[in-house]
Amino acid sequence: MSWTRFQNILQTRPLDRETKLMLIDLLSMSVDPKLEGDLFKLVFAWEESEAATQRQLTEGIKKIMDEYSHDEQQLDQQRQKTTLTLADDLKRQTRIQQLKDYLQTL
Amino acid sequence: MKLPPPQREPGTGPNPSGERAPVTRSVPRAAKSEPAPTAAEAAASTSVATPEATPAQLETKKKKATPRKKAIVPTAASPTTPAESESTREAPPRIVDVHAPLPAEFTEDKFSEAAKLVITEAKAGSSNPDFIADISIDVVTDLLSDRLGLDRTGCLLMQRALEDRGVIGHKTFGVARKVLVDVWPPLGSSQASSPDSAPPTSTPVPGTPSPTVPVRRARLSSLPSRDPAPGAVVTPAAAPDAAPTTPPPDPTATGPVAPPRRAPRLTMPGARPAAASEAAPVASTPPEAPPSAATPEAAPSTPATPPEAVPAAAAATAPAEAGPAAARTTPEAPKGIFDSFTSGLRSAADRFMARFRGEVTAQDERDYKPTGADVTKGIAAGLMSVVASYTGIKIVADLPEWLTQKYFTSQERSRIKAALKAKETELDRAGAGDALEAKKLHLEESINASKFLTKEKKVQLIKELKDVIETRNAGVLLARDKRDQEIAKLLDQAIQSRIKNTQVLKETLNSALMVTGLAAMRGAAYGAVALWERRARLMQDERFKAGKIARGLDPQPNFINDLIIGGMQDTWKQLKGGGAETKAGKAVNFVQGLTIVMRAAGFAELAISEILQEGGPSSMIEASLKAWEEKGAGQAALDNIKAPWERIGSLFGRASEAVGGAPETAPGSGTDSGDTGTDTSGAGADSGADNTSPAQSNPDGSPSPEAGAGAPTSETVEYTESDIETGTVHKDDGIIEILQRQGMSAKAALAAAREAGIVRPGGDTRLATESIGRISILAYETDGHQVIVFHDTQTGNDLSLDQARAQGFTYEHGSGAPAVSETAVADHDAGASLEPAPDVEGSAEIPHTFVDGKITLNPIEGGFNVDTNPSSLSIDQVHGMGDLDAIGTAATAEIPAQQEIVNTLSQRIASELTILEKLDKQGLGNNPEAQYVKMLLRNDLFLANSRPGTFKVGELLYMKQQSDAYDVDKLIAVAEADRINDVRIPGLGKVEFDYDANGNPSFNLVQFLNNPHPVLGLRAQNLLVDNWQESVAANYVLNQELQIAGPVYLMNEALKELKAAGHENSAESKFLTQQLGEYLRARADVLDGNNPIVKEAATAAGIYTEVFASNP
Repeated sequence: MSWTRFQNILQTRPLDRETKLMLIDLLSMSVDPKLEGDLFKLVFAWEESEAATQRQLTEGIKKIMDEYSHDEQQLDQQRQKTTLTLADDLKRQTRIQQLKDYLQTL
Repeated sequence: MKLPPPQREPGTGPNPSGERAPVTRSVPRAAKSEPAPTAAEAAASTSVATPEATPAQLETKKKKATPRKKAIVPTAASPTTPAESESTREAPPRIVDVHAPLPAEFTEDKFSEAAKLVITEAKAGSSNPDFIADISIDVVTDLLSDRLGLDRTGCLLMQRALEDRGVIGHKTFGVARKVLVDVWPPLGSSQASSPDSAPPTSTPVPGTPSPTVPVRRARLSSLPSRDPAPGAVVTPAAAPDAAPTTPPPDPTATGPVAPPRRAPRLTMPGARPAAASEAAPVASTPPEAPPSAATPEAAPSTPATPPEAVPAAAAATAPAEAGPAAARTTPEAPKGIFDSFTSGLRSAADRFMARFRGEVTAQDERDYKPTGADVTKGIAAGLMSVVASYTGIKIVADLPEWLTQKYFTSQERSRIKAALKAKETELDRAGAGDALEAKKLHLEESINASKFLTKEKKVQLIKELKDVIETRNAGVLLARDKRDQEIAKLLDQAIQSRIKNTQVLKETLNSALMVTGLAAMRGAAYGAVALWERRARLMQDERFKAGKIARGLDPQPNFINDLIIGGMQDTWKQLKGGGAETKAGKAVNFVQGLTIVMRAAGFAELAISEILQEGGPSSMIEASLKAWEEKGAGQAALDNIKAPWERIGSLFGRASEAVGGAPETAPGSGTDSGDTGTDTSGAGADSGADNTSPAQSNPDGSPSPEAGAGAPTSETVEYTESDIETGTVHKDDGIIEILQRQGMSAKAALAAAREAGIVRPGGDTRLATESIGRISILAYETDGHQVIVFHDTQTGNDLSLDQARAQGFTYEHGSGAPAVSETAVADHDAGASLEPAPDVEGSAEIPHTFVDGKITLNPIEGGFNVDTNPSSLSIDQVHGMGDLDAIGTAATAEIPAQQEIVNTLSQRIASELTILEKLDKQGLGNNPEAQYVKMLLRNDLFLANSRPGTFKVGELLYMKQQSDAYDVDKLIAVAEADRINDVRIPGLGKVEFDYDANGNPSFNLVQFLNNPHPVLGLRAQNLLVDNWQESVAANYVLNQELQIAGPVYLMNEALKELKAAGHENSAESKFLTQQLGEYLRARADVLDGNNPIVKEAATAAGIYTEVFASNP
């Protein structure tokens, strides 16, 4: 039973005001250590579940973002490759024309 | 995004003399056709605060002016320029008159009151003191009706008057109204000084003080406008556009008159006189000063000055130039326009996000009542911000609409999106530009510059280049869409999960409060808070104060009369319905009123039904007040605290498990210092609670000769009233069910029942009708054994099993033949598949063999073989387990037939469990055979747990579809390219076809019926015969008409749609026709053959003559 943890939950976790008030009221009015312990267990279980939900969300998002970055990177690479081909074509055409001009001068 | 550097006119820079121009707004101009004012006129007309516009001058000019002529307020600063004319054409000036006539219903005082209310609310709505928030039209209406007592028409008229007088902005559908003034009456208007004075002119006579209402701050105006209304009042932000076209000032002017560049804030009206007086000498000096120079955004800097340097320069010069008055009006360090702009955006975005995170702002505090929807919104917004922090604002703003639709209203969505977009704009402003575009341009330039390429070749290359970029961009867009959809899905799951967890937490806390009686104390605490809130409300209520003053009383609330008696009167009013018009509204008010009284009297535990039985609300109030008087608040509350908190039972444990998903020890398991428990009225309460804890129950269920139901015991066991109440037999209760209700797991309850001899191999003991309401089944543990007693609530005696049987409270069921009772089924349902099946192998009850990895089970005729080689498993063998069709049909029959099915199913379940166990041991727990057996098991468990006559037809159909998926004869494979995928049913939405790996379609009816459209039930009911209820079991499931007739309606409509779309010969159509025919046959007893839809469906399925025509 960590009061610090409980306090931290009240201060930082996404609970609405009414629920926080219920918790505070229950704990402040109860003189029964068993009830207190059960309350803590419940709240901590909720917090862990919340953390798990958030962890799942963030990990999922990271994975999706990684996949997206990978896809984007591949598209960029493909684009770069095609652009380079175009640039090569441009140079080749230029070179051919140069050679033609050169041949004509001979 | 970069803003263009501010335009600045020559000669309008900082005043070398260190003086500053008067703080002015723009000049109101009457009409573009009027001649351009001279500089002197312009200076004279700059502001009401302009020093030369002395009161005497004002008065003189007022007299010259035509009374009540409306001021036409332009949106551009320079009235005579072409740009201004253009601007005027594009945005017609809006007519604002602070003295616009009021409707006859309103007095000036009433109007002033309304205006002040709106302004106060708008100011309170902004977390930033520099801001006036826009105000929703609903809020305005509420304010006017609540505070001023206006009816709907009155509210509309008052809103129009507020608009006419320039207090609020133009009405635009779906957009909050802008509040255009800071104070009312506006400073500088004659109304401010003397409401009865002659009305001011609104004609822009040169030198006439502006009659315009004070505008809201410049920063607001610089925000991207969400209000498409034409400029309602002078908009400082419009000045930069107009500035370049402003005629240059006279270079011979003694000095620039514009204020130094500083934060683009106009002084508030209240601060204006001070600022004006400080600047008075300067303002009078240069009569040529162009009016636009006074607008902050237009405050020019020298063209050579880079924009970034301006704030610094302004900071250095501002104090000296503006003096203390300026320092007061702009207390913060001077900021660039960009800082101001972005800080405005940030503030707006933060405010919106704060609201949707569920935070309560100051103005909400008074009336805030969190609802389930608020919690959901808070959760959704909170998780959206998590996503935003990982992905960036843009993605969240781009999330598919469907996600936000689930959680927010359309107005909220648009606000969220606006806030997010604003953030996005802000964040993107420093972007490095599109590098890709730059590269493309570079290459294009190279191509165009090439001397060797022909023109055609150049065109071709540029086209190819363009294609490359477009292909890449299209790919990125696709990837982005996919990414956003995946994120939205993930987010939705997280939101749902969090909502579920939070609901469990809230409900558990609420239950704990009620069960422990602490709610009563909480009610007392609320009472104190409520009194304080009521006092605060009364203090703010002008009508209340005015009423008291009129009666010659002290306006301060009198504690007894105003708070207590007034509060009781309010409560009584609520009990009478609270003025609500609808029944539901009255009921809500009644309950609220009743709750107040109950809380005060400490009757928090009574249910409403109990109250009504006590003689109705009036008797209850009387009793409550009497109790309050007799016992006092403290004693009343203590009585509730004495309520047995053990009733919580395993509430916390179950809730913890539900939210955390982890096994949790029930309260009272003795694992911590809380063993002593609460000192309750029941001496043995703690032990009773502990004994029912599943954590201490013996799961192995080994029989004990000493133990048994009601076995004589030397112990004196006392039970709390709540235990007895919980254990009391109700209609349709089973012994196992009652034990479970007391907090035992199904497994532990079954073990206890076996141990007590209630469940035996050859049958079981069941509760007779006589036990209902009289006998309470209670369990306790002694010497490691569970003991079950039958407590007679009439005599107070504990009866043994034999005694209970002898007195007719129980009867024996089953014979010596092997049979599994429904209690065994309940056990299976509670996750018994995880429990090792004891003594199954070789049991005579379920004969089977297991040799060399091959199982042969013979519970059903034909046997069933599973080989370790999956390929050897034949569909026929699987179907040898039983015919679901037969089960489905038979299950609709009467109870005896049902019982037979239950027995059969029990055997099947045991067989399936054994198979799974064996497969698992072989390491084949996840192979296709195991998956299939699991599917069968799930279906069987569902059937087995359906009470006789209560199974859901939709589920059966689904199970049959699942089964058909394995039936080669019924396979209708559809190639992927040919799939229809879904069909839209008019008025109901889309129903999807599911396809398995082989392409066999199934119609996802279960999903549709579990989340039915509201009209589906009504339409379904029309398909049924009169008195159809008599044909089905009395204790049928909820929404039975939907379950029975819904599939017929849906499938028939789907078939029609498919036909209309030309898919009548598709595999999906054939599948639906087949399903519809089978379904109609199954429910022909209750479907109305004369109903056109039923007739149509039966005809489509080709069975009308066969099924309905003979018996229409």
